Amino acid sequence: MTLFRPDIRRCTDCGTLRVYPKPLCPTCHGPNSAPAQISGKGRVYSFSVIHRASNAALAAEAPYTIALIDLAEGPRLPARIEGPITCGDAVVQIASDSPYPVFARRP
Amino acid sequence: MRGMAALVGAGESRIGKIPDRDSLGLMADAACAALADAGLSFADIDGLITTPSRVEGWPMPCAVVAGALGLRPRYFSTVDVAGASGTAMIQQAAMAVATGAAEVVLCVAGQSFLSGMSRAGAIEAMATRGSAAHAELEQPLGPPIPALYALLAERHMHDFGTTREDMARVAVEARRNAALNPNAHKRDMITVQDVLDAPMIATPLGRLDCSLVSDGAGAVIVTTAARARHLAGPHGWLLGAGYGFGHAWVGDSGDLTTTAATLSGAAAFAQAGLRPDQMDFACLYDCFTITVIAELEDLGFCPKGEGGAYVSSGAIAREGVLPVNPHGGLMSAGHCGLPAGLFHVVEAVTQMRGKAGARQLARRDTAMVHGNGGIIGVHCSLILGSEATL
Repeated sequence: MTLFRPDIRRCTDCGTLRVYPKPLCPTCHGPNSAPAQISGKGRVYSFSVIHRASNAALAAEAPYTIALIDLAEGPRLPARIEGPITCGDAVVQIASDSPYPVFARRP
Repeated sequence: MRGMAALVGAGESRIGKIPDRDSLGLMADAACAALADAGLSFADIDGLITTPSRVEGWPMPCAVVAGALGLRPRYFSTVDVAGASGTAMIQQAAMAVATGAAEVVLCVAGQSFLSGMSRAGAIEAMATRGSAAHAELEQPLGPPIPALYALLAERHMHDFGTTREDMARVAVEARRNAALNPNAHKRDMITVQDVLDAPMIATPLGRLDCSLVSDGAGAVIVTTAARARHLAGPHGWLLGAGYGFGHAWVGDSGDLTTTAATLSGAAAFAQAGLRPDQMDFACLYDCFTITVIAELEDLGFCPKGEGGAYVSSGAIAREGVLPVNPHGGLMSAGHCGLPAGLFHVVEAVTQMRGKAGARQLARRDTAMVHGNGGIIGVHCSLILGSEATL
């Protein structure tokens, strides 16, 4: 069980953080970036509990929850969620064997 | 651009489960219907615009379609802005005739989306090959397309108090309209309770909050103002068009509940010199019930956050202040995937030409036609008007 670390980058020209891979900074168009650490804390922007998956492998996991997390550092990160949540809930990343970030409501 | 291009013919194939036609066969049927409506023949066509087919995965769709239909176009293009392609094709056809690149442009698109790949196959294809979810950051989470639109719906409910009943009303009005459309895929009446009771797909969207999976194709003929005056009218005239870019991926967005339809709609209205309250009807991309509510707000038909109440007031019913999708839309008339935005244009032209039969609207001089692609990230809006509005 580990904390899955998405490749979040910080623009070394203007400091903007980006979650989605891009060749240029979306703010200043600078080409330089470096890996950025995140605290693993954030708030649920929105979520959906999936009851009907789009293929058989995922159907075995249903129902499962996906969400967009507004990270404490600013950018938005797609993730899975364990346990019940609602929009605006404070969440924290938890350890998992999955190849994607998993969050749960902060106790 | 205002008044420089006319939509002089529109048609569609049979829509629904059509196992005896492949995607090209459906497109041929739609093209023949549109040409017959316009009083033109294949020999008149010198421009072609189409979309990709996710079913066949052709390498250069406009060439495949030109060859299949026996065309010799001097202008051709494949448009892919997903669900916004239907409206974007018309805007690009208008540019082609306005610049003289072509005189008579056939816009045709369709897919054997149900028979060609099975319902389950189409749903999986939209979640993967349809490129709606980011390959590294979103697809591993396993979101079917409804779950990505559900993110908008859930936040809209949180921010504005929109209810599942409000969303359900979109589906109910679509089905009422489809009941009057003999070519619609689903015509059995449904109630708000039916929508609420339908199996949950991805909260808060149930099965009847989702568009259909259908076979079908649509076609529209676009030509110059001069050529249009020699053809039997009334025509639909392009008064304005605009694009709006919000995001490529749903997670790479800001405020999801305010979409870039604000940009495309404002640009189209400005070019047309008209306001939302001057529209007689609207054909709005309705992949999910929440999509229509967000579009009504962002295109300016009601204030932000009041789309749910606007729909529940009866505003979008065929008797309402703004009839929406009088053919039944993607929710009930048919959804053949990416090309289905062209059906909204076909319906607007059919209404303006007074050829909509039992579903003909009395007021049909002005219309907004709107397409949305991806996860409500890219937008193209059109304003169409009758000759009286020129």
